[in-house]
Amino acid sequence: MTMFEMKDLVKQFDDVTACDHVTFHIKKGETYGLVGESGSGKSTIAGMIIGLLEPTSGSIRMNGESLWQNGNYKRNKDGAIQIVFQDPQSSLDPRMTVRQIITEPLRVLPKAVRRERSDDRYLANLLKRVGLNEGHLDRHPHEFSGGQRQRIAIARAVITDPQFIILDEPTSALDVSVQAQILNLLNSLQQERQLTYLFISHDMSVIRYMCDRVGVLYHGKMVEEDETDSLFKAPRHEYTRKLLSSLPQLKSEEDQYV
Amino acid sequence: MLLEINDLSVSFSSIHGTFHVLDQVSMHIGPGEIIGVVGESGSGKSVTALTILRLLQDNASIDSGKILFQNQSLLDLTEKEVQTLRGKKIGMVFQEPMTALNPTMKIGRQLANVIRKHRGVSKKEAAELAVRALEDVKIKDPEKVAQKYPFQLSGGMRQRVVIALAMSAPPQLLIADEPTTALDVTVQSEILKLMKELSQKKGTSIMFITHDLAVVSDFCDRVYVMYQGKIVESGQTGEVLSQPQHPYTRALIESLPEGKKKDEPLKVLEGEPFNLAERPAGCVFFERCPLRAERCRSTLPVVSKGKHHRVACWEADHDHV
Repeated sequence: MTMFEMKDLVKQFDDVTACDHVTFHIKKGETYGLVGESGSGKSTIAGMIIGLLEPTSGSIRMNGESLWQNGNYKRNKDGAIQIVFQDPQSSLDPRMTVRQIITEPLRVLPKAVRRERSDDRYLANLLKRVGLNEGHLDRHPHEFSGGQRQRIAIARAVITDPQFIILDEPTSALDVSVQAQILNLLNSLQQERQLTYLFISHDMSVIRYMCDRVGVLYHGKMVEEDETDSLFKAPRHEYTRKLLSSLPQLKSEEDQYV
Repeated sequence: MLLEINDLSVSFSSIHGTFHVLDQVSMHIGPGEIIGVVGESGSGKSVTALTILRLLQDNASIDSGKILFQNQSLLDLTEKEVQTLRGKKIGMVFQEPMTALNPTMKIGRQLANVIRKHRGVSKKEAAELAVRALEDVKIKDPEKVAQKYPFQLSGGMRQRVVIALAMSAPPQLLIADEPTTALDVTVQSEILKLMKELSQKKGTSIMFITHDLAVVSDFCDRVYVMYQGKIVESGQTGEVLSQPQHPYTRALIESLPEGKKKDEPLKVLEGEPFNLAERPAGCVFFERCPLRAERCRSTLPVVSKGKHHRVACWEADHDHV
């Protein structure tokens, strides 16, 4: 079943077309990967989905309903779309406590839900689920490592019980051993909560591991889209091939002695 | 040997205590060699580079050890002597090219200034050499680029300019600290290729600092793996990465998503690194190690595996010849 449908999406900034007639869909429960280099339009697309950037033309539908109507952003359900950014250093307000940070998205929800989810026990469970503990609730972001901060950002994203989360380079600023922890957490949360992900990354090995299908962006255009396996095994577009051949690879032993 | 570091220990002091950021680090680089120093945040890889360049901040102290560069003790030089070395014999490239360039000066002039300083040529000659240096780093239309300001160039182009600056002397040693981390992969692969070519052409050795094992695998002859201020494993790149002996190196490689399917969770390193203010007496990896035994708590061995492979682990003794 299709959850998201982007049709002929265009975003024009003065003389730059950041997103150039992009069409794709995201199925419910899948992880859809968007890859491309800086300036390829990945984050522009994310911005239009969460309502930060108004599309110049084209449409985005979530569960059949248009997200943008006459220049206004309409949520089809409050808190249904969430986002986790690359740099938890700048995406968490340094003056807020963890409690304030992760309960902030509740503001848009009905009072009863708000009360239930800002309860200490609920928050303790949530923190535990993302690998932190309740003792962390009243601390500030600077007291945490990069990986822990990203866990806080993930807790903030799931507290509204979203259907869909945009993961915009969620592990690019992390050490590899921490990256593994965060990727595992994202995968297990997805299973538990039947989440749909849009995973944005420039890291092809992470994309290959996480995504069911992948779209490749180049200068604002989607030049290729495919199931992850076929895209990596048989890339059709010249740019995808270049991208894949540029990847440094951990050589296996056989390669060393050939 | 071009550069030899012996038993280098460095600590930082602050109001929060004394942090032992390097603990008896030893490494060497031969002429023309490309070595990799790999590790995660806080492992001490950048501090090692800054110590060689004598760019440590005032709150740092060198507690022990020696650094020999062309048989000259770097740590005993006066600041003035170091300045003649820095840039001329030891070049450097850092992660963010914008911060290494003067934003208010045209590229050509920045290069010419450096060239004049190192080679003592006339202004006119320096300007010509600057254009040639841009050509050397494969910049198309070097005359035109020389007339531009840094902000007018892309990240990849800027890093080429920084490399041109660093290689202008040319130096015997180039220290490159995450030089491609901020760049796109297609640009990264071009920059790595360029650095390798320059190294071969000019006989410059490279100390390549990175968190990226795959880049090391492609680029470096030998590798040092650091964890919390200590070298835990070193050797030929191919050997270390294909037959890692230290549990930390293994964990690092296994945590990469390469070649794994989504339904198999990635191997995860349990726990967190220790606080550098409280260095353990024995193995630095003790708290997180799946193979730890009682003897690891108090002593840390350096085991040789074959001719060049060194591992700071008791367990490395057992398996594998």
